[in-house]
Formats: sequence, C-alpha cells, structure tokens
Amino acid sequence: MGLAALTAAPSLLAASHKTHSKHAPNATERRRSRFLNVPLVTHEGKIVHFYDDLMKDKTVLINFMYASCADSCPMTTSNLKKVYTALGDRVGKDVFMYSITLDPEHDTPHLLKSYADLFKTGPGWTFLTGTKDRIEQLRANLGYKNSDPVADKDRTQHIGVVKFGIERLERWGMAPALGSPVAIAEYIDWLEPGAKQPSLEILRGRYEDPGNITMG
Amino acid sequence: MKKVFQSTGLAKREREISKYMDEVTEIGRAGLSRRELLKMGVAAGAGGLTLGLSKSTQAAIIDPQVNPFVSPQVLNPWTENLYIPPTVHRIDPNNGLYPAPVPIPGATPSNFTIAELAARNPSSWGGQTVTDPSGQPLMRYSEARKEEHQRWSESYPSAKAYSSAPVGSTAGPLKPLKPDNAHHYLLLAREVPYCFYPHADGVGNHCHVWTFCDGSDPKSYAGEYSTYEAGVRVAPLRLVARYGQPTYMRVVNMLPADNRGFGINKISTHLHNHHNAPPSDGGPLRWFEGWNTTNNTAQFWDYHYPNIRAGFTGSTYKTSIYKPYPSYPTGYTDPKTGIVDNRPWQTCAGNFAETLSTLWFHDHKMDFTAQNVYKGLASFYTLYSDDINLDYGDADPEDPTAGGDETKGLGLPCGKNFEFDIPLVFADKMFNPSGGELFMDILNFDGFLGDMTTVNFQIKPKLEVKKRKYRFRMLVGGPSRFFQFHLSVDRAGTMVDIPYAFWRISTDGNLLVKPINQTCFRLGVAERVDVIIDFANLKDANGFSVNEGDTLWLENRLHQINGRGPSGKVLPANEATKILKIKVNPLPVGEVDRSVIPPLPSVTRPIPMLAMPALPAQEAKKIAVSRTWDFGSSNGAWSVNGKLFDPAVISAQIKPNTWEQWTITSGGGWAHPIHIHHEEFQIVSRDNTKYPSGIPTEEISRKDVLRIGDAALINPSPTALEGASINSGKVVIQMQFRDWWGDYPMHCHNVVHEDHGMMIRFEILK
Repeated sequence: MGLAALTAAPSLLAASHKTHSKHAPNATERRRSRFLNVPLVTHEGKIVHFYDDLMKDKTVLINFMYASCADSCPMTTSNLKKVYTALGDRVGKDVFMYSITLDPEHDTPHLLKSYADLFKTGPGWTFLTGTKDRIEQLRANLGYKNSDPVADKDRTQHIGVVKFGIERLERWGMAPALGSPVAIAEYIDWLEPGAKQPSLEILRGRYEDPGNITMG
Repeated sequence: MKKVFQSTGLAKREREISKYMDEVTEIGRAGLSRRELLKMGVAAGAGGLTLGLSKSTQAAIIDPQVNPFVSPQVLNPWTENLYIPPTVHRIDPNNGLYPAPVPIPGATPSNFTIAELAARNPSSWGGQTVTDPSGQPLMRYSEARKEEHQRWSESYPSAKAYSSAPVGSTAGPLKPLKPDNAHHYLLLAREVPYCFYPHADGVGNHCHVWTFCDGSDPKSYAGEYSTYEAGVRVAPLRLVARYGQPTYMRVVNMLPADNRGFGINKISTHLHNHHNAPPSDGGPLRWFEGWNTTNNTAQFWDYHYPNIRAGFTGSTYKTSIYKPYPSYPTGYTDPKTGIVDNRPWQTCAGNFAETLSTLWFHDHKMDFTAQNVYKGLASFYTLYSDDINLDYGDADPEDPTAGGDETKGLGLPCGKNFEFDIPLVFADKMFNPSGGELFMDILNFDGFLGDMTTVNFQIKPKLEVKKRKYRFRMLVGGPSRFFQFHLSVDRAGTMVDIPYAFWRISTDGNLLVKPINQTCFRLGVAERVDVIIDFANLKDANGFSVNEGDTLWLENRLHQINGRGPSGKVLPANEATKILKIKVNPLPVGEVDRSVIPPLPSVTRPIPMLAMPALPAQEAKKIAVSRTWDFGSSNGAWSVNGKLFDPAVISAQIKPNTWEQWTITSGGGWAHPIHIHHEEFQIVSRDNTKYPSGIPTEEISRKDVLRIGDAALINPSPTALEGASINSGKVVIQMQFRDWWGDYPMHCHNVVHEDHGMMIRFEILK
C-alpha cells in the first residue's frame, strides 16, 4: 500500500498505532531505509546491491534509460557524457553516475556494455539492469513514477529527469537530463556544504524566448 | 558481497549487440519511428539472458511501500491552548543592527560574531549572556548578498532617530511619517527541539523544526533551546510592519549541516506578496549558507522592505519614494528623546488601492522549498496602513502610546497586544512513529500530504474566545494540501453547521472593496484570507444562536488523498478534519467591543474600504504584451510551457510601467496554486467567462496566488457533495510591472511541484 493510499484514511490507520515509541532511527538506519537495497547487474556483469554498493556515502547522479529508445535516450546519454566530462576527475572517486534500464527484459548486461562502449563512457558511470520486478520497485522508490497509470506505463515519461544527491548528507535534487551539462555539474556543487552560490551572471539570467508572446 | 556474473557465448552475442547498436544509431539518424525501433529492440532482446536474481539476494531489502509511516495518535486532543504567534521585537532600538546594513557588501563584507554582537549592546538582551548556538564562539557570520539594495539613497533611513508619528494626527487623510524611522529586526534561522502534540500527551520535544527565532530574545541563543518543557513555544512568529516605515530584517543562518533526513541548510527568505527589489525578494537562487563548523563560518542576509505601496514611481523610475508632505507643520518633538526635528514630513507614496495586510515569509531555496518550509521556516508579516487611516491595528506594538485602538481606521478587531487579531497557519505534517521525528517523503514528486493537520505548529489545540468580534488571518502553509474551511457548533455531540460565519475582508494580502459574508472558503497553498468572526452574532443552521459555553469547530472539509490536488469532493461535517476547537466565553464586564465589520451597504462608517485599481480594459487598450503559460507535466516532473525550471534562463523580459495580459492554462488531473512574485494580478476571465460573472466574488480582488486545475473553485450550487467543485483550466489575468527592476519567479506553490521544475523567471527591465 502506498503512502497516498494511507493518507486517505489516516484516522482509521492511526488507531492501530498507540503512541510514540521511544526508539528513533539513527541516521544510518534512516538513510538505509530510504532506498531499496535491490540486487542489480552492472554492464560489466557484476551483481551489486543498490544501496550498499551504489549509494551509501556517495554523491550520485541517477537516470533511467533503455537501449531501444531512440527518440531521446541517445541524446540524454550523450548529454550525460558531457556532464561526466564536466565533473572531471571527481567521477569514479566521490561522484558516481548510474543509468538504470527501464527495459530489463531486453537490456542485458552485454547489451548495456555495448551501449556504454558506443558512448565511450568510462569508470564511475555504471549501466544497470535487473529483474523486471526489482527495476519497477526501484523506479517507484526513486520517484520516477506517475500516479496516472496510463502515463506511468509510458517509458518515455521516465527518461527526462536526472536525479542527483549527496547520500551522506541526505540532500537530493533533480534536473532535466537534457539540461546544460555544465549547469548539472554545478547543481551538485550547489548541494555541497559551504560551496559556491549562483554567480551574478546566473542571477541576471539569459533570455530565452519561449515563443509565447503576442503583442497587445 | 559481490559476485561476477558469468555467461557463455559472449563473443557471438556481443557482436550481435554491437551490430544492433549500430543499427539503432543509424536508424536514429535516419529518423525512423519509435514503433519500428521498438520492434527492432524486441528482436535484439529476444534471446536476452535470464538473470535469476531473486536467489542471489543476501542483504536486507527494505521496501518503503510496505513500511509506510502513520503518525502517532494524539491522546489528549483539545487540551492545550492555541499558540498565538508573538510579535518580533526590534533589535537594539537605539543603535539598530550591528553591523549596520550597507547598500552593498564590499570587498570586506560586513560580518560579526555573536560575542561581538553581545558586546555591542548587552542591554538589548537584558544583560543575559548570549553565546553562539553552534558552540563555536569564533563562528563568524558574513553577508552573502552580492547585489546592491535598490533605491538605497531614497529609502535607507538610519535607525538612530526613531520617531513615532504624532498621536491622533487626523489633520488629513495621510498620517505623515519621518523618513528616519526604520525598524530593525534580527532573526535567527535555527534548529529547535519541538513538540507538535498536546502537552498532556507527555511526549516532550519529540522532533525538531527549523524555524525563525527572535534574535532580540536571549533564549534564542541558548545551545539547547528547549522550549516545550518551559511551556514556551518559539515559532511561528509575527513581524509587524506599517506603510511608510522601512523594515530591515537580518536573517542569520544558524542551521546545521545534519538535516535529520531532509532539508538543506542553505536558505533564501521570501517575503510573500511584498513589492520590493530582487535582492530583498528572497528568490530561489539567492540563498545563504548555514554553519560550516570546519572553518567557523556562516552567512546572513539583510532584507530591505521599504513598505511602500506598488505604483509609487508613477510613470517613471525617477520619482522619489517619499514625497514631502506639504501641509504638515515642521518642528515635531520626538516624545522619547525630546529632540525637535525641523525637516519636512514625508508621506508614503504608492497607489492606496494597492494596500496590503497579511503577508508571510518563508524559505524559497531552489529544489528545497518544500522540505525547508515543511521543516518550519515560515512566519507572518502583518502590514498596517495607519498612514492612510485604514487598517489601523497596532502598527507599532512597542510604542506605549499606540495600542490596537479599534475606533480608528476601518475599525477592525485588534485590541491591546493583538488579542483579537490572530494569525493562523495551517499545515499538514507526518511524524515517524519510531521516535516521533518529522517525516517527509522526498522521493515523491506528486506532492506530499501529512496525516496530521496543524495550526500554528500544534495538533488539535483549543482557543478560548470572548463573545465579540475577532480577526483571523488564515494562511495555508503547504506543502501540498488544499483546504476548505467551515465552522460548526457542537449540539449535544452532533455537529451543526454555522452558515455565514465568516466575514471575509481580504483575499491573499489584499483588503477587499467590501466584506463578503461566507459559509466556507477554499484556499490553496500560500493563499491567505482575513476573516472576521463575530462570536456574539452566530446562528447555527437550525436558527439557534451560539451562546456562552458553546463549543465550535474549525474544520477542513476538502477531500484530498494525494499531492496532485483535491478530489473535488467535500466531506460532511462528521467526516471532516477538525483543526481547532473554539470555546465561547462571555465578554468580561466592562469590556466593550468597539470594532466593526467594515462598511456594509447598510452600515454607515466614516472610512470606506478601498476601490480596486482600474483594469486597463476598463480604461482603454493599454495591454503591451500578451503571454501564455501552460502548467503541465513533462517526463515525470512538472513543467511550464513544456520545460523544467532552468535557473540560468529568463523566460520573459518585461518593459517597466507596462500592462501585460497572461493566459494561464493547465490540463486536468491535478491542481496548481500559481504564485507570481512582486506584482499582483487581477483575474479577467476564467474558462472564457469574463469578469465579473465568471469569477467568484472573492476573486474580484488583486491576488498573488491563482488556483487552477482540478477543484479550483467551489461550486456555488452543488447538487451533491461530490459536485462541490468546479475545475478551471484557463485563466486570463492582467497585471502591471513597476517600481523595481530585475528577476522574479513565477511558480506553482504546491512546493513539491515548484522543486521539481514548475517555475520560470521573468525580468523587469530597468
């Protein structure tokens, strides 16, 4: 049962809980409980556990893709390649990039390996697959879920956003996966403690005509 | 524990895959359809490997969907008195803020330590020791602001010569004010141990909030700011301001890096509905840092609120903010200092028809607004207009000569110490049953609902009222829930509606042209309404009067089960969420209620409420530019005109002193409270039905939040509770852009939507 369903009738469910328990989860328990620790397979054929091996203590960027999506996935992946470059030598050291397939039945580790090779990705950027159930659970867990079931079935609805965060500090943000690569790398800086703030140039902004104007 | 996955026939399959990928790339270039590609993808994956992962699981898998939180039950509801947000005190009235506010932080930005602050004027803190709450005495706070305060030379008054306006200056419609009368406030954004549950539940400070604390209060500095046991709550607060009297509000970021699960200690304080320059607007990009304990630094920000009505520049930016007041005599003697001042008095300019009353300030950090406001970074800013003898109230709570005189101005309920002028912020929360810490699901993009509705950061409190008129300033604080408020009375255990209980006198921050008598009203996140409830003149649906000893309930009857918006259904009284219990007591002997419900057609009062500014359509064709903004969803996040928020982009450049017409649209399936910073708008049409017939009476007002989408409006003639709402997908608004220049955001105030892309920035050109 999802959170939304529970909030529908809080009074009924609350009755089953008496009152506050004294035990508060510590930060380690809290962090661990946020993400599923599902097993996944990397494009290099390694079996990893999502939280323990991929998330814990790391700064990460996560997106969903699938190899047979030719509309925007290749553009997204090549844009993330630019993010990868913009992050410089941090990738693989303290920043890790994960691209998870939405089509695990077809995107085998080998296929993902070819996909990674095609885009000439390097260390610190892992493509991931797994069983269909696990991937679906993970997708919901990470918020790549539309409460409209029709839209939720449409895979293209889940590929436009890259989620990033500092797991150790429990700080999470998101950006359009096709956004400016330098900007996406900068957003990660903006999450860091004591780090830089938007420059005057960004505050002033750059005008982009959305094509929504009529005179008078 | 990691295992290497082994497979056979690699070379052959790899060749196949690589060939497939080449094809995909080629097909992509050739622009073939997705259908064809999908077919090929299926073909390529047909012999895919079966991984059989379920058996390899060794680490524990915790599925949050089978372990959701339900907040601990409230054991003793309606036992604790409602917390009334206290007024923030001015910091060091003799000297003002230390260091003094500067127009622009230069090469050596203004900075201080708490020890230096305390040494500056210990009398401000009653001689009590003030220490840095971080436990690091050398923690140095410096200003993060990079941009100059606009119109500084015109609007910066020193803090040194406070002078109250002469008492009873009824010489004209304007009460003149001295230019040198800024009020300075020091707010500390702090983590505070907190209890939302009734005291009688005995759970102590079960959680933590991040909130604004009054820096003039020595208790705000204590390392262990434990408020609940002492019977004192610290948040939310109320900052009282008045037109013509600039406010300097310094916010010091004392928030720790450890967020206990959500939030970020980088904050930007937005004064919602105020009309001022971007460096003081508190937009999404102008944040400042909390504690960095590795190098003992943190940051603050000086906000400059000139408290001038919109339209003060008229047709040119050259006009001064303050104009000489011609007919008032010079030679005013300050009652406190005895100093005679012979400079000419000045008046607060601007369009009187754009006078505001109830505003609030809250965090606006990009991507973290929902989390940080939910954590508690929200307080009230009540703005009085005694300068034009309108909303008189108690504009200077520290001036002993003032005092909530209800016979002045509109005669709204106020009383000494705002006894009858009560702000109420409504927000839903969820608490982890293990330990009771505040919980938020930060991975849900739809919006977040809590199962505990709080008022002024309390669950199910009670309010004892006197049998007279009260003014309630009601604000929905978010993050995602919409409210429809009703009042009912307990008749031997049965709840009976009180029709027409509310005299609505404002919409958002704006006093209305005339009060509206309402049975109920709907508010989206960040919307506000001021109502007068006359507890001496209430009748229930059966025609029986409300009397001393009766118990009333303030309820939310709007049905909403997810963050996307209300279902549209309105719940019957016995199923609604009771928020506040109100007990009616007699008016004590000797007390007289001199306040009034302002001028109804049948009531003669000397002071009329204000007319609205004329729309250009009613004058002449003055619209310079029309724009369309579609609020929708894109790629599982929230978009404006199909795009997610890009902080580097300006999506509209607007010529100053022009009118524009904006068409706001939204598809079905969700609801959005859209907020535009800086300038207010008026609704011209809803769903192609023009003003005024297509607009509810309460929306015939200036506004700064617009409800659009599902259940945007109350159905005035519902056939059943299910038919209680009207969807609205297209709203046309008109607004003008004036006085200050620079960038401001427009965004959805379902702050989860805002944080997930639903925002743009526009720029008013200089």
